[in-house]
Amino acid sequence: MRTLVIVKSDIKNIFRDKSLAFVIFVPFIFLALLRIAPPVYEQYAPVMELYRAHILSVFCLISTALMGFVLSFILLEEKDQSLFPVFQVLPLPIGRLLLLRTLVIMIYGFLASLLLIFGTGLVDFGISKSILLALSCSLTGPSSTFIITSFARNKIEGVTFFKLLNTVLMLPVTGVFIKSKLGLLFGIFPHYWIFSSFVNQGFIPTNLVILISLIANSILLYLSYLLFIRKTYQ
Amino acid sequence: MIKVEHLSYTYREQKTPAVNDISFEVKEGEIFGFLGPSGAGKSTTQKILIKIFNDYTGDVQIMNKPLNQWGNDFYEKVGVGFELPNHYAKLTAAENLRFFASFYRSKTIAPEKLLKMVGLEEDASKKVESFSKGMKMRLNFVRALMHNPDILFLDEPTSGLDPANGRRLKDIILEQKAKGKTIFLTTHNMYDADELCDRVSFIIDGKLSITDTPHSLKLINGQRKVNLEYGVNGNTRFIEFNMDGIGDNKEFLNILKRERIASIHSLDATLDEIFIKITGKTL
Repeated sequence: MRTLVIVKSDIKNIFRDKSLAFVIFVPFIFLALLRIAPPVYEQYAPVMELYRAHILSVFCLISTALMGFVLSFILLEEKDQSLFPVFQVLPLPIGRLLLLRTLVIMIYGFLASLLLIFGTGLVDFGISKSILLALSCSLTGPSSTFIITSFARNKIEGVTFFKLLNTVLMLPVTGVFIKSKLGLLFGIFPHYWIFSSFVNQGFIPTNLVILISLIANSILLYLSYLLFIRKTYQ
Repeated sequence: MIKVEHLSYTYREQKTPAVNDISFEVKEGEIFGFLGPSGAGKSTTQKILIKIFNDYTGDVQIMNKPLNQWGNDFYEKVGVGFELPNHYAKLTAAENLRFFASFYRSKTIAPEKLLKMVGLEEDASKKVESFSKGMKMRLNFVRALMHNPDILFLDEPTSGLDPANGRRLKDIILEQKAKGKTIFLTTHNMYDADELCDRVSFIIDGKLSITDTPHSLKLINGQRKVNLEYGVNGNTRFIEFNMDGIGDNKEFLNILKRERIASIHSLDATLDEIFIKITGKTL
């Protein structure tokens, strides 16, 4: 009951803000785009067929990061409206509320990634790998939320931080375009391992890459959560 | 109900304590006023008592249990009314109350009933972003009552309210007291404190200077004089008399017998004046 009321209120907050409501539908726009565009541009540039997994990984990651952006806007609204002290005097520990929201965002990010992986038909990863890839991507949503909300003081700053964060998220995709082990240097970025899970260069076994991706992005999520708690509640 | 002994708190990166070795006790069913100007340490003390600030020194007991031994169930027993409005702007008043009610295990009062208490029943389905500050403050206030807490911590509850709604809230506070609730009221509004509080404490620069009933404070600090206003041939005159021996004061008695009396007042000190006299600071 409690969970339902919280989720319902969050959904109302999202849909009553037109810009946020639009973001929720972005994965569907991406789906349409990725179904229509590749057959067209591949006619003119057949080499692009080699980069289907690269493109898919970028769109999956953007979709999940956008969900994180939506949640960060809800949290920044709570910051703007001085709601954080109210949560501190409620019987439900703040960690439980954040966990619930993290799970909701992860589930949405997971489903959005699966939608793109299966719906676009760009690459056939098989069911089990597709699930693991979507799970890996879904970790990006909440970590983006916590990073943005830790540093931004209001929604305007939130947009700026999201743009900056998006650049940082996309930077390691460069690593999977490099056809030597030098690309592994981008492994210092947790998101490199997500891209690498989609486009394995063959230097490390695929299952290990996915495992590294899950571990690295879980650690990032945990650290960003600690950062958020430290910056907001201590 | 609340027992505080030698409580001190210093903010990080500050040398002087915001709350400096204060002790006081709030009895069950009492309205206790914590009075002082901005920055005196009122809100800091309240934040300690509601477990927002935990790194304090001294001893705090609430409901006969050390504060640091309370878990999250503490918030089932206390209600907090914040000084500034804090709600979801895009949710309606009823949705806001329903959202916060979902955090309690104990049975909560229906949003419609709460809103009716503060005259917001017609605005239940309006988004809070369209509310005035006064409406938001009333919503803040009823949120603190929704789970029927034993102790209420209210920070400037009448701030931003018109006199009629201020009256309404003060009546609710007195109703809560009549139900046996303990109320810790933080304010710099001496009129509210005088009207509502059983006892008050003055806090200044983090230290408590005095704790007593408003009545005693006024008796101790007032002048034992009577101010008489009367009319003589269409002109109004004022004259002051000492209360001591006033029954034998011929001039006073003559005026009462012969003149048309406009008003008679004892020169009681107001809490404002007493605060200035005791602390040397204004509010």
